[in-house]
Amino acid sequence: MKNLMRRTRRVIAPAAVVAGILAMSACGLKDRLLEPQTPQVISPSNVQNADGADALYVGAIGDLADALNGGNNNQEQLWEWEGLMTDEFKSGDTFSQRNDDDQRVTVSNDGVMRRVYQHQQQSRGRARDAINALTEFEPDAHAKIAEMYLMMGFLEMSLSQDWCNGVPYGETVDGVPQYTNPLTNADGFKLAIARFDTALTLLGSASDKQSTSVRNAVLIAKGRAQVDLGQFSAAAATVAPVPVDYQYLLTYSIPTNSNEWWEMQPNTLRYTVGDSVDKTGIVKNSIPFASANDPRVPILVGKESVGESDVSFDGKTPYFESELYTGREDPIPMVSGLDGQLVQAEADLNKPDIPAMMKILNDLRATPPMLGNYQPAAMAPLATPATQDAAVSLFFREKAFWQFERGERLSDMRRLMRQYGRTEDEVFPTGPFFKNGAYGHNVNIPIPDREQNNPNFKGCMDRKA
Amino acid sequence: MHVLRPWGGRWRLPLAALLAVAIPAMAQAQKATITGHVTTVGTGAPVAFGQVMVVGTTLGTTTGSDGAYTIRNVPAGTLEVRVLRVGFQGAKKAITVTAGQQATLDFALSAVAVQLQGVVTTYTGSQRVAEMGNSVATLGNIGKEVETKPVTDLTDLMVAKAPGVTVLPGNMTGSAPTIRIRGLNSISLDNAPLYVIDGVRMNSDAIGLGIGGTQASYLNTLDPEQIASIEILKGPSAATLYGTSGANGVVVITTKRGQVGSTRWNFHAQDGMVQDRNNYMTQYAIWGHDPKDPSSLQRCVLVHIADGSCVADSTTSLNIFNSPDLTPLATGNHQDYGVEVSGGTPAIRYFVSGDLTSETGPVRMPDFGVQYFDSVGTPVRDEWKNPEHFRRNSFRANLNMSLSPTFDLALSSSFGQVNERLPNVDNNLFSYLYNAFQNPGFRGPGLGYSDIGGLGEDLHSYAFFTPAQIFQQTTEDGINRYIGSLTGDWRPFSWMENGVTVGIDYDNENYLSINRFGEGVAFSDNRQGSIFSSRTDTRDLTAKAHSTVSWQATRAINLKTTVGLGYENTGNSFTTGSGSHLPPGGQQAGQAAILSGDSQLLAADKTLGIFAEEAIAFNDRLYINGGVRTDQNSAFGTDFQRVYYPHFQVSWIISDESFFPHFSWLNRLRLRSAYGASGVQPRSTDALRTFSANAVNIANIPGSGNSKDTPGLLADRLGNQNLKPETSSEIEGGFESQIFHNRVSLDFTYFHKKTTNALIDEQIAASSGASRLTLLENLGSTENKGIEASVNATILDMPDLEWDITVGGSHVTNKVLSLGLDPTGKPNPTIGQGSERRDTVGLPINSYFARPFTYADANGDGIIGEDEVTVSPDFQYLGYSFAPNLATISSGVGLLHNKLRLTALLDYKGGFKLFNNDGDFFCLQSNQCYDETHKNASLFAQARLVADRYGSDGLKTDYGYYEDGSFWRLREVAATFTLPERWARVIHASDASLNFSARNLHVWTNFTGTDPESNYGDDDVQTNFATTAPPSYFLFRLNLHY
Repeated sequence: MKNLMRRTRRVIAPAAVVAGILAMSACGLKDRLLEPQTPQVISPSNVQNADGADALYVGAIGDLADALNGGNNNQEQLWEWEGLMTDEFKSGDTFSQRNDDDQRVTVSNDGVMRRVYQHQQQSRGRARDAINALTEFEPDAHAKIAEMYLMMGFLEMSLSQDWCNGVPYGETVDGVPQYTNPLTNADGFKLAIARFDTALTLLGSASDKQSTSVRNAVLIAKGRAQVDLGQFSAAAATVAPVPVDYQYLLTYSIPTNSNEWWEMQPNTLRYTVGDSVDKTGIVKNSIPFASANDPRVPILVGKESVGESDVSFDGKTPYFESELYTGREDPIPMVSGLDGQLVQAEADLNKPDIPAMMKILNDLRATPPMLGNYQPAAMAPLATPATQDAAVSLFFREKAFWQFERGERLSDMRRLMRQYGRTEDEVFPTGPFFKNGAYGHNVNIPIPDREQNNPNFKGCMDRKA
Repeated sequence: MHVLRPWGGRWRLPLAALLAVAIPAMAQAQKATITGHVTTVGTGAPVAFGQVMVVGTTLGTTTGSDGAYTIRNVPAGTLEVRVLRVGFQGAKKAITVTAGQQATLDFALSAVAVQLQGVVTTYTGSQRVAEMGNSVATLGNIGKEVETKPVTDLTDLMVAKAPGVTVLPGNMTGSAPTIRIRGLNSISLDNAPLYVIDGVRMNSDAIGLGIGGTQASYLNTLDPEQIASIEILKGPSAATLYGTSGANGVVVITTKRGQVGSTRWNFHAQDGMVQDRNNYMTQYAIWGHDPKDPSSLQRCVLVHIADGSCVADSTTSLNIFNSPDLTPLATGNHQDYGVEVSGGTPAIRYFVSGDLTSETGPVRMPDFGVQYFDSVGTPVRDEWKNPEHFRRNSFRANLNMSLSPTFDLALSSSFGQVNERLPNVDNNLFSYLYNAFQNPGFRGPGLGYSDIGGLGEDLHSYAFFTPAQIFQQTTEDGINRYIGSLTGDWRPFSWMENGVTVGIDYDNENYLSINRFGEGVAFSDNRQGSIFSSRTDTRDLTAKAHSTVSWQATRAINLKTTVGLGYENTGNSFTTGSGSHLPPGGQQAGQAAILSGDSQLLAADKTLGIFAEEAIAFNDRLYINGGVRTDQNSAFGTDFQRVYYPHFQVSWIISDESFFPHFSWLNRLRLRSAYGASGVQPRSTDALRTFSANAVNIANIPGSGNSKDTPGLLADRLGNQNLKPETSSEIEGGFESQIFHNRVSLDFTYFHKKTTNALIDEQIAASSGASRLTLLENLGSTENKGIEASVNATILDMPDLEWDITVGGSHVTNKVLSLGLDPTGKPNPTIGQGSERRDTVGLPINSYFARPFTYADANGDGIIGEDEVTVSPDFQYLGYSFAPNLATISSGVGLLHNKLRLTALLDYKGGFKLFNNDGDFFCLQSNQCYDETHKNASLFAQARLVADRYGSDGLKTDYGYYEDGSFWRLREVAATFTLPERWARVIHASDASLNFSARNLHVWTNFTGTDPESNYGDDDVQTNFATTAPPSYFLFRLNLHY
């Protein structure tokens, strides 16, 4: 008992210390000691107002420019990845992923491809964030909200154009992912058209400059989606109001983000313009972008000055540089009146009214519209093809030159198979691959395995064009 | 016998406290003082640094250089005094003292063959190892290690020194090591241990240098010469009181301190060579021709010979590193000079040291580079000639003051300055190794290789750029570091001790990477010049306080109660500035045409913990200890407030029990077991929903070209308000014993650690459009279990010949137990679908997976053709990505009365796969690798190349380049000769020794890459790509003691 009492008293001293600690806590010292100190953090309260909504709108536009063709490092975006898979570009790189893309053998666990896909999808989410914020804090900013719907629709259209059937298009609400079922590419185009229609409804008949510009962009984008669905006449009607010289430009600057074509070509020499001939001989189906000497695809061959290289990054592949959108700050059109003209020409092709198509194409050649900040020289008119098949080939060749580096080529190649009945080995580069082996058989990009975190997704529905 | 019963009446505590503070002299007068000498049995030599303590109290001291000690403020009564010292059998004596008495108690200790640590440093002070239920790895007498082994940095002290501790040394001068203890716990967070020096949390981060991968490290600012001891607490069972940061183990570093006695001076001078003696890959070229056109020269590869598309004529090879006129390697140099002075009186002791370390690594500019610059009239800077350099200046002043018989103050203070320079290397187009590995397989032009660079210069067979231009870009990192702590120890009563420690580790890092105008490699706009500089301030604040009371409840039972608190505040701030397109002569970011910069105000992580602990000793041979720490942390989610970490330990010297059978061969057997928990906090912003800034060039009219730069925002982290720390709980058990007259010691430990609430980056499908595709959540659990064992034996102990050997080893089994649930509520089976590094339930963290292949030389031509390999579509588990099996064998031989001592250390790591990234990449990208071009390449080597480069049915695989990473390395050899006393007296020294030592002499392995320790990261998974391998050191050192 005595020991127990002693022990009890012995506890007094530490208990006093504990009491002191607790008292300190009660006095609020504890809170001060543990106060989060994270000055680098921008918190939700910073965006709960009109200025915050505007900042999200600006951020979303910047992210769109990045997701399609921007960045400040050795990471290509959609238009580069798509161009590498087609005959627009060849890999002059050591990255196996780029060589695989060029060879059309990319598989679903490809890390570079995954990043490209993710950026498209996340950029959709940024547009949705901005729509939500603008709707709450700037509900009358219809042109901005419409532009965000344009952005969502354009990305959904692009994903459907380039990836296999089976892309899901979910959203994230309050930080919680809302997963949806995969869609066929056709359903993806319909989803995009629905976004474009929402944008057009928001814009109504407003005639201010902002609304007019956004409306033109939406009409061109919608027309392209309609073409993807084979609705050629409807597409022609959709794009008809848009002036030929209209361009919706993605812009870049050194302090913000660079045009990725600059990064992948002159800055790192990893991509080189494609040609119909390489060390294996003639590359079947490839358009000779590098050697055609076409005013729409100006090419720099070899060294321009001391220190420049006439071979690509891998030290072996001859380097051909496009001078079209290759400046670090060169703007590049996301959609343009030129696209509208080509939509109308394709509608004529499908009527079929080849003379009407040729008139549009030759008018464009006679009076070339600006390609970003670049003015191509006028070109001689083309002879009218004798057959429908020849007309198809001529149209898509012209389209390829006009829309070089703008993420259209893969979609067009797929449409040549899907809508015009051509086979893979009549459309895509085929035969020996200049780095090793032979070209593969990808006609679209596989959806990355990481998408399987969406429980509704089990892989591509099919790999058809 | 009268037993000490210090606790008195109700008012004794406050009264005594008042008296102790106000009139310590009076207090002393009422107490006794014990003095004495501790000497060695037989020789009578004084035993310095002996730990002398009064059993059952908080009183204790350390013997001086003359073996003398004094303990004041001893309560009257009969009590026991114990002495412990590494290398000696501990001793304990009883003594009865009266108030005011000056008692004398001398000890004579017997030297023992087996070196056992008696006391280790814990969170609240010193503790006898015998009382601890957990195993603690003590790395021996560090001062002696430094004097007798090839030690140049902290890593050298730790590699292959303790079972369960995996050390992957840096491969370049001053580069960062990777250190892990008992495997990996965390899937998403850092698995590096916590470092504490003199009670203060220490920054041990790696520092990115932007040179391709290799990093610097704050660990390398520590001067090994200043370290007295290193103890490794291997997991939560030992590190509970370190709270939310101790789950990965704690490395406790204690620096040297002065001892009572006359002033002692120690000088040392070390000089030696640093050589990169690794076997880097050779490149080959098969010269051949087109079978249809013999005049058409072609580079053949085996598959094209097999398919008849190329006819081989001859084969050449080139290894740049074996070519004296081409190699960028030469013999480097390591130098270290230092002085220490220490001594003092019982009232004040001091230790002051200064040390200069300089190392020039083996990478240097080849002579042809120097000649090139001479030919164009460009003066060659020293940093171009020697781009691998490290310099460390360190100064330390430690002071111990006994301000009164009841109050001690210890001041630790060090200032270190490091300047480091490294070249472009690793995963970098400008890497000197990359450019050497891509050589054409011959000298001069041919087979499409021009041998002429972008400046018209001779490439000397380097692929794109030579070291001459590569080394013109200079990357330097400088660190100014102050680590200081102040510890107050107040013992108002013999049964009470109160300790307070406050300290800071403050680091100022200055980074500069500059490529001046007109210099550097000719690539893109590189020669327009560029610069990146940054200033980063990092500071770790530590404050802790504890109060311990002891109570001899009965003669058999001693109780010790401790309560306290700990506060850690770790923060950093930085500014950066960069520019490109510099004017001629420009060397400042502000002079560039294109500028950018960034900054961050001080951001901090904060932890406040309180703890309580009760320790019970029964008959001074059974020890039970239990306690709990509870933490709050600024990084926890707002919906999570507090975490509790309990611990419980038992240590039982069972061989001292009367019932234990006594065997003549068994001297001591201690059983121990411990349970404990600890945690790792989330990163400071993980719990928060955040937005990030995104400046955008945007048009005023949408889509028009009339644009300007505008600030924007993007959603960033999704946030998780329920975020809490990972909690690791561990139970371990084992024994220690000394047998055969203390000539052999055995140590065995089994541990089982489970990490729950494991922070996992839950993967989010991109189709959700989420701003981040991971969300950190406390989802999973992991498990580590394994064994650690060591045997230390003195085989011969004769006057003219001593021979000891230590064998240690460990095995850990690591497993992911769960990964939470997917959105449909089903268990997540894996994270990292489709990738080659995955976390999968039932398998180790960071497991390797790949698609296997099969092959057959169907046509029997000795060459694997493109159609003779089949790649499986299904991924296969390959194994661990880190070494679960470790072993070391060290041995020492003493000759000439131990005046000459020879030692060697063998190091083994095994049981894991290592990705041969060089083999994979350079075979995939070039036509010069062995697998692809050498007639002697095995069928497997050929097949792995074909599977990787050509594949089958659209599938390719790098499966064949995941190789067994196991190896044995001759890590250290050393010879130390203690000079005869008469020689030492010539230079007025009390003793002197000469040491020759070497590090990393040879490796035995089946790994076909450069080296199984080639690594540039500090990540959990080893990474190599055009990466250097461990250099060899040959050092000569003179130690003088005065």
